[in-house]
Amino acid sequence: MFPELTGFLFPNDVHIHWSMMIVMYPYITGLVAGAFIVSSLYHVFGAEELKPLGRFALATALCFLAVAGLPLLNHLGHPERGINIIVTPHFTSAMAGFGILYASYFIILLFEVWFVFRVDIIETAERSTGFKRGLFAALALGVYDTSPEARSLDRNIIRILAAIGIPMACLLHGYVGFLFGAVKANPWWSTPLMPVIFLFSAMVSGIALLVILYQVAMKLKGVPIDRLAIAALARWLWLFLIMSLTLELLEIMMLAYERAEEWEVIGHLLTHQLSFSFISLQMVGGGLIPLILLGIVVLMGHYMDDRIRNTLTMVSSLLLLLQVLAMRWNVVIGGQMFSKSMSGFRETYVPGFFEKEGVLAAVAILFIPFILLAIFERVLPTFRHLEREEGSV
Amino acid sequence: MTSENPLAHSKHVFRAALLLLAVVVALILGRLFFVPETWGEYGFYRGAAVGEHRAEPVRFGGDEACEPCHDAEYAEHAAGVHAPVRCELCHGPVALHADLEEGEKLAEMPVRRGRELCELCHRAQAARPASFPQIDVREHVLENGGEVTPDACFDCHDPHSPY
Ligand code: HEC
Ligand code: HEC
Ligand code: HEC
Ligand code: HEC
Repeated sequence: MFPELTGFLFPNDVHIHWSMMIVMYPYITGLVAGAFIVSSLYHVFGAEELKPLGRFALATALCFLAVAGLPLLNHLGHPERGINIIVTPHFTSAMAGFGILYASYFIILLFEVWFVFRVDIIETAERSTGFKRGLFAALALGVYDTSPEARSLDRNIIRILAAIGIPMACLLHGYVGFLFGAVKANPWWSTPLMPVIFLFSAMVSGIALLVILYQVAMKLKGVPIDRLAIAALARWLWLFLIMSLTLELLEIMMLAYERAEEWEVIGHLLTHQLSFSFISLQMVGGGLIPLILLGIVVLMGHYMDDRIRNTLTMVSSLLLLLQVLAMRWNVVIGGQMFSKSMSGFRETYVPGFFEKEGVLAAVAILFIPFILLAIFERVLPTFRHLEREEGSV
Repeated sequence: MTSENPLAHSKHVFRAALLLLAVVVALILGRLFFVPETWGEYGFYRGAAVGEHRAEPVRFGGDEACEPCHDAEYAEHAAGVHAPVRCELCHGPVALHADLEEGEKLAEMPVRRGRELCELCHRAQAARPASFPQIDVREHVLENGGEVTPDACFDCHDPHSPY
């Protein structure tokens, strides 16, 4: 189909080159950054009420980080050359930043996971025989030291790794926002607010994901949902949502109030091409409604039945996962819907379902981390420390 | 008790540090295998890419390439108002269609008999130079007493020489 075009477009404005995959990439890294921050709130800042999720959040971050590069590989014409970005680091290109940031963040995350789960690994090794024992002994690096001294050393190292991890997570996600923010020919992208907006929406999506996964996991295990944990998650979620919406609106309001020439294009874009994904999803359905629902949970939580609190945070989180996806879509696709001439538009963009970079591929990629998480949970249960503690009390 | 020795319980940390060192060394050694051979020859890219692009076969041949086999269309086209529009722009690159050296046809040449081909260039757009012939398709067809169909343009115009 020939795309519906209006006004003046340069020949290279006609196609949407940055496809669904480039929408999924910041979406997934955002989930990683958000989940990691939750685990760090506990490990670094001592938010005790998040303890039930400390390990789970870390495992979630790892599983999503493991697939974060997949959409990019699928986008590349030569995926086998993807490794080049890791082995040829470069400091003058934001895009090349991926290699350095991804590799070092992955290493930090792996080591943090190892220190957090070390005692469990050792216990599993001691409990099992044969191949499994060998595997877990290797995972424990052959040292079976679970003495209180060793554990307190672990705790200190975890705190340091988690603390280094925070700026790393912010960088890994912030650089994606930077990539867009630094495209000076595109007024819908080019703003120093972009990395910050990306970061806050990342926190929102990551926490929302944990709210959902945590509640589902507890249901599956038949363990009661921790009231303080949900209340704390709802508070953080509300805070980050307020920040994120404020910044997103601030950007638009600046443009609208300045009435510079780019508003002609962006105003049209937001009310026409993106009216559903921006106004209905990003601002109202996924923004305002969760803002109100979470506000109720946070402000009137004391009078609230657990079931209601859980349901309200669950619903808000589902909406917020959509909101952040819509936000990524609006940035990535929206930025390619108008001409750099500022006087032409592409009217619609609907990704194909079976295309190489289409909807099915996006859903499949988003599904993999959940499988990884299920495997992780089988190998190293992330909620066992709770059961153990209850048993010991 | 070994509690005086602060390093007594840090054996696993040393192992982990060793592992980290191994990873870093592996990354550095990995460069030997993974960095493409001609990397950095001219700049921050694979030098061989330049040669590869140069070695790509030429696929477009210009209008003259069609002449030996389609002299009628060639003559008609060259004499008409569409003379500045290359044959391959509306059809496709000659290399996919004919072997110029052997002088034989290789595959079908695309024929885009539809009005979107013409609209690509002639649909009225505010930002096109005013001197370029452009039309509002519906208006134009109805004005001239035609019917708005997917290949309406061909009822009255010959693509090779529209008048
Ligand atoms: C080596 C000879 C040769 C050259 C060079 C050549 N063609 Fe052809 N072309 C043929 C032959 C043979 C046919 C089939 C004729 C037929 O079916 O009547 C054909 C058919 C076509 C058709 C009709 C296809 C159809 O489905 O009806 C088109 C259009 C066409 N050529 C365009 C071109 C254009 C444009 C060029 C130059 C860029 C070109 N050809 C160069 C040999 C050539
Ligand atoms: C403006 C676009 C355009 C250009 C330029 C153009 N063609 Fe065509 N050509 C067409 C279309 C459309 C058809 C189908 C016409 C039809 O079916 O009535 C066609 C049909 C043909 C055919 C099939 C035989 C026929 O007449 O139906 C040949 C051969 C051909 N073109 C060769 C050429 C050659 C050679 C040139 C350059 C010298 C050329 N064309 C330039 C659009 C173009
Ligand atoms: C690649 C762009 C392109 C396509 C596709 C194209 N044209 Fe043209 N057309 C031109 C150019 C260039 C001229 C010459 C304009 C000039 O003389 O200033 C022209 C001239 C014309 C003219 C004469 C206008 C005038 O008043 O001088 C007509 C009629 C026309 N085209 C019809 C068509 C039809 C019908 C089609 C579809 C089969 C078509 N064109 C496809 C580029 C295109
Ligand atoms: C019913 C016959 C008819 C049909 C169908 C038709 N045209 Fe025309 N077209 C004409 C006539 C007659 C002229 C010359 C008189 C004029 O300028 O209106 C013309 C002129 C043009 C011109 C030159 C206009 C100008 O301002 O110089 C363009 C471009 C053109 N046609 C493109 C198209 C395209 C594209 C289509 C298909 C959507 C199409 N025509 C369909 C009859 C037709």
